[in-house]
Amino acid sequence: MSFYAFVFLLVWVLLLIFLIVKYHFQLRVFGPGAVLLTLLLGVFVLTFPCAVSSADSNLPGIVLICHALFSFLSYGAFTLAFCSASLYVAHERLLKNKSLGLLQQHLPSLEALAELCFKFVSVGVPLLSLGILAGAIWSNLTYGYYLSFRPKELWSIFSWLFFGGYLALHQLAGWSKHKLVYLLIFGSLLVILFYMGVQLL
Amino acid sequence: MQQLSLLGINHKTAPIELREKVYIPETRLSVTLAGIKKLPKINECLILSTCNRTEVYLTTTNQGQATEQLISFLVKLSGLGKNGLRGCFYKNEGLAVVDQIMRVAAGIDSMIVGEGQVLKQVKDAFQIAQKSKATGALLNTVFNRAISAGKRARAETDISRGAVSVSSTAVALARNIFEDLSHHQIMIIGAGKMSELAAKQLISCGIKSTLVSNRTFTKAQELAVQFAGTAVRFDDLEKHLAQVDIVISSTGAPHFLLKQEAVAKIMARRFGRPIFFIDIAVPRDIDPKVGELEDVFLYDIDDLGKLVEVNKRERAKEIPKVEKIIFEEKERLMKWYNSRLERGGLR
Repeated sequence: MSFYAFVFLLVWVLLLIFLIVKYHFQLRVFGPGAVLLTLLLGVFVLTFPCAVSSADSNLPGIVLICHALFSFLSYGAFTLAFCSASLYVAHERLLKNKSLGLLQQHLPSLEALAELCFKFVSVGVPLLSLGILAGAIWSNLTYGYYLSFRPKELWSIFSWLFFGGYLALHQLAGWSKHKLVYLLIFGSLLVILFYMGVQLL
Repeated sequence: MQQLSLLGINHKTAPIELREKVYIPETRLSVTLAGIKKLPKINECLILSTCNRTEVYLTTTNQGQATEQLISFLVKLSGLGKNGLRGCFYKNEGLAVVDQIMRVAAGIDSMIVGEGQVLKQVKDAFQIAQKSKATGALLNTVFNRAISAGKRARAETDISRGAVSVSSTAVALARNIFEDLSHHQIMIIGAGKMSELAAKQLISCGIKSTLVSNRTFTKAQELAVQFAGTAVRFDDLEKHLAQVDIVISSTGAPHFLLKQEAVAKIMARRFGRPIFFIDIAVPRDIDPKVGELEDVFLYDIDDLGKLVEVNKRERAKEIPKVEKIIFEEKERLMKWYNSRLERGGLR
């Protein structure tokens, strides 16, 4: 899949998840943030050539669709975890600097934001696992091997290890929410950079 | 023809010493309403009496006479001489009356702009007047529209957002850190009016449990009874700080009770759970450097005061939006009024 199509799909997945979250958690502040993010992504991707990769017509379609669907839902969940984590950092800064205006009344509590990060990642990791599994099966059906250690596959595995590691630390290590949130932001940025590298280099 | 009329006294025209003389408690409202309704030329009547204002809304066919009677009625009620309340009353008629009650209901006539209490007081006053059969078609419609304006002002603008007292600011801050206060413990160190208020407000928000500590243990025990909490010894303070999540401190200690190193040690035992210190004491109880620690949030009395000021300013900025709502509600009222006039009602 081209980078263009990837980001474009991600935009739609984000908007979908955002709508679910908005109605489920009643977060006022999420709206503008999510719309802005999707808009930026949309504009950003329009600067790339719209190259449609020629899909092989005799590919086992359903496995590929599963692979794409699960992967994308997981990317959406991780992106929103990243958004929640960023909101946490912003809100914490406001509280620490005591520079709270009306904005702070629209922000969810630190506890709620940290919980949101965890929930998004816990949804994202199983979805990514399914996505990787479907991808491997598809690869085996098409090329005869499960894993070829191409950069993109390594990227998926790195993402899986990172977010899985975050979940493990959250549940087992007794880390503070503050540390976990910074880990999440740092790791997510690495994942994004890694992906850009995979796509563009 | 029946005219709307208003006679009132409020925090802008009279100090508390005079306002309290004409304050009419809820239990006396229906008797007073009946007394006013007996006066000649007065058709409908409604009394709104709160700590900041006593206002009498009327419909009358003779404004001048009605007002004169009412003033002497209220002067008699106050027990002050004829000149005791001179210059305290304000009068309105026609649309200005509608404007006033809408401003009151919307909270922009209050001492604390946007306060929520007044809308409930307006509703109660209206209900009592209706029950006492003191109101008729005109006042009923005016008050229904005013209550609707009050509700809209709070729902559609930020006029009542943001804490505007020190204790409610402390609660609002706690809510910024913790999602559900019923999962968290609070500790009160020292006794003082301000910390009591803040503690009471947090407790009324459903805080899980309360610990009370004071240098004299018996005093702590007294306070603990008051807050339905547990008294703990002053020497065990640091042990308990590892458990509680919100601390309100207001001792008379001349030096810092909690220094950065001590709190850093406590934080290590809390496994990353954040803690919120509210230091209301002057001189301060908690070293300001404590606030630099990770997962520690420290607010002193000045910080809280500044937030109150910020929120008050933010509320003031919303007043034009509320005035627009009032304008719209007045238009709707006028439409109703004119159609009633055409049909020959309201005589």
